[in-house]
Amino acid sequence: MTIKVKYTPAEQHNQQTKTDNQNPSKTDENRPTSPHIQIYKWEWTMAYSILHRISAIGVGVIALIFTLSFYVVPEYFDVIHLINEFLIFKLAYFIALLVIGYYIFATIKYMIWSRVKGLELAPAQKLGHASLIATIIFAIGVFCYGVI
Amino acid sequence: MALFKKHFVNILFILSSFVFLLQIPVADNLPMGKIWIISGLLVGLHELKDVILDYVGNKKVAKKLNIFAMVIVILIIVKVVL
Repeated sequence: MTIKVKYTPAEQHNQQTKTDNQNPSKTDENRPTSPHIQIYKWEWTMAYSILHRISAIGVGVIALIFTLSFYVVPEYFDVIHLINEFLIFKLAYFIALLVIGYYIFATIKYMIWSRVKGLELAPAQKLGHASLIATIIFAIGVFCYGVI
Repeated sequence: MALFKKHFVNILFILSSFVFLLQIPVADNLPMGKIWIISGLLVGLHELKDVILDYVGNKKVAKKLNIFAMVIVILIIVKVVL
């Protein structure tokens, strides 16, 4: 004789999620699509999170451009020459430093959060502000060191 | 240790960035350049995967896009290393 257990829809969903979580490829398939961003009220933490995501993709793009640049300008010193001589390349270099810097400091912020520290709203916002200020100082510092 | 394992690529990218960016104006070659490029590409790929999974409704298409991006990045990494 078999006993049939009746589950509520919530329990069924929980059991399904538990099974899916054991299989990473299944988790990707069931991952919900992000809702439209305009339904949320803008918060500093949200803006910093979006910036972190953009900067991470930006880092990949910068690494790609840097790799490809050696096929266009084979000599290393020509790349440095371009940055030093032309304003547009100086601007591109500065923007790249901002993107790289933001990714670095936002990642350090996430590492602090991984240690379960500074997760409340006020400290989280302060960490975000600090990472932004650190990024600007980092970008200006490295730019001055490299170009001026 | 768990934190180090979880953020290995990020830590590699951060450390190589500091060395690499300070080397750019003074070094006549870039010993840290390859590590920086590879870790930067891996960082970008990881985030691109998350973005595609979050915003592409059709998960099968998302998976195909991810595999396509992964193949391109692996090809570039192989080219950089060789």
